[in-house]
Amino acid sequence: MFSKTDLTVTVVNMQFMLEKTGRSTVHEIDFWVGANKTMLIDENIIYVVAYGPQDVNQANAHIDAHKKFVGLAKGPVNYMIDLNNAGKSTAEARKVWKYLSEREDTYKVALVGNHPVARVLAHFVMVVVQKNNLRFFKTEEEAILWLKE
Amino acid sequence: MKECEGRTAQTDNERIQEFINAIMQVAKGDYTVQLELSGENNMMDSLAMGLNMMIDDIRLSVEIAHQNEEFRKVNEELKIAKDKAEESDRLKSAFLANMSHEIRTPMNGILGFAALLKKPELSGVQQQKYIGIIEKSGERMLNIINDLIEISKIESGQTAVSLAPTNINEQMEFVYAFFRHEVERKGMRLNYDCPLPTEEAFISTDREKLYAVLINLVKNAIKYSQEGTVDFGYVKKGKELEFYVKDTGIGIPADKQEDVFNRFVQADNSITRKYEGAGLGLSISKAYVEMLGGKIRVNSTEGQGSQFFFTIPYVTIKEEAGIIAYKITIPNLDDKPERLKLLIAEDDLANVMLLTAILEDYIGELFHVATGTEAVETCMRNPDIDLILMDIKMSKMDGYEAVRHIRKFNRSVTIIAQTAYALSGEKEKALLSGCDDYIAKPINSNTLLEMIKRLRKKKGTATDTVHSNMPKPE
Repeated sequence: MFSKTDLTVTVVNMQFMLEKTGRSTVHEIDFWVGANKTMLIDENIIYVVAYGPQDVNQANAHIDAHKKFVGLAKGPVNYMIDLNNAGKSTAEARKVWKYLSEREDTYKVALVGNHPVARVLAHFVMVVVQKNNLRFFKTEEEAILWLKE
Repeated sequence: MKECEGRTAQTDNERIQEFINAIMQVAKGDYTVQLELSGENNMMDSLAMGLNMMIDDIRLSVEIAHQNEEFRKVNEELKIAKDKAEESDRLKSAFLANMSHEIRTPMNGILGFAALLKKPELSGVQQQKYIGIIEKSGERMLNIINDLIEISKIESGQTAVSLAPTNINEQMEFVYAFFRHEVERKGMRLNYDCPLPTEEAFISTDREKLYAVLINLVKNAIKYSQEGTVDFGYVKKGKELEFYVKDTGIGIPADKQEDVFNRFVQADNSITRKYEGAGLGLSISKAYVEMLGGKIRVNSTEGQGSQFFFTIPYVTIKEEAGIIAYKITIPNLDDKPERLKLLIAEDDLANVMLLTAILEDYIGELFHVATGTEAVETCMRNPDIDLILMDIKMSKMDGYEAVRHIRKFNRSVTIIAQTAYALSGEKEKALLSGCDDYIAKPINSNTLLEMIKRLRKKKGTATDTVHSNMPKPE
């Protein structure tokens, strides 16, 4: 598994990578937060493609990434999380996502999955989040429409 | 197609069977079970994923519940420990208050009557009366200090059992002889019973501890009784001897009977209590009895009296009766004392004066030094010194080291260590350093005189003093 240090390296280097590639916006680059591919799209949507099991270290790495993205987006952000390739998440990891979802600088969280397994995974996260800002969608299009409402 | 559907249906059945097996495993408490996903992300996989995550959550809950139970137990233990510490603190505070009273009272007697003795107009009778009070007060203080030292030795595990052949009938006789006059002076009667014939009365036990327990129980019985009788004795019960001490005294309230064996506790622990004592005697007795492999208990009725019982193992020794006997020796005052060349190494002037007074008839020539270095030097200059009374705690060089130096050039001189360190192991340390014997302060004059006589007799007139190659003291 990833150590917390490994997981945060790519995020810490985000600004450096922008400068190195000569690109001006972050959505033009894929970042890896641990095993999850992450990017900023449409100015304030953090798009996470989750791969494999989601443990607490992986989830904690997203807290660090969140702060960077909020800085880059210059304000609160939305999440769109693709669960199609995700594995099971631990209870501790879900608590971290609850924390991320309920932060003041997080507007909405859209969980996306086009098969029954993803739906089950989404449900396990949704039941722990108290704030009514988290929904499950079968397609990214539906999710983005809701996030932009 | 039909075959394929049939195989699919069978596979689903098999997977459902796997799920059922997993659920049964979990029901048995095995939370490590996990279901494999086919990777097709179908309904069966979603069911497997859901079950896997539920099993993980259950495992976590069980672990947390287990941890909480551990925390609860630890908290409970901490609470018990805290309650005990508070109780101990309360008892120690009560003990300190009592101790202050117990020490100040005899101290008042000592200092008060010592001041009165300065009056020139006192008659001889008055002087003797005052001296008697000072002696009694000193003894009372010594008893308290001895009890305190003993309880601290017990608490620190320094008290060991020393088994030796013991004639229990003889012990009973000693106890009777020790208290008979005191009981008679109170107008009471003291009875004892030894049912075993002498040849069966020899057992293997710690004689000193048995004697101490008996002395303590009988002393208490006398102390808390104003009239009637005090009976003590023993009965053989199978492989045990059960000793008893019965009195017709004030008794102990039912709710205090267990507490009296606790440290610092008397049945009446209030500041206004009537009876003197530190409240350590029964606690020491209980510890001794348990060390001897027995148990102690009390039956008592308030206002009618108490009966203390304790047991010890009955382990017989096949020895002829009478071989082992306590020898209570009283110094023969008719003996003409030999005059000795004496060195007192002692840094406390009062103790020097006391020793000089005790040994007045024995002193031919007296040297006094206050440090170990001076003691060694004096011995080198005077190789014919007969006796050294060596204090242990002295500045520059302690007594043990001084003795070690002296023994390098003088092996014949009699050296007695005298110290206020009355803890176990001190005597062994003294002997190892080269002393001939050891005496604890406060010094009992009879004991010291007997010791000197015995050691001098043992050494006789033989001398093997080495005068050559004397090293200089460090």
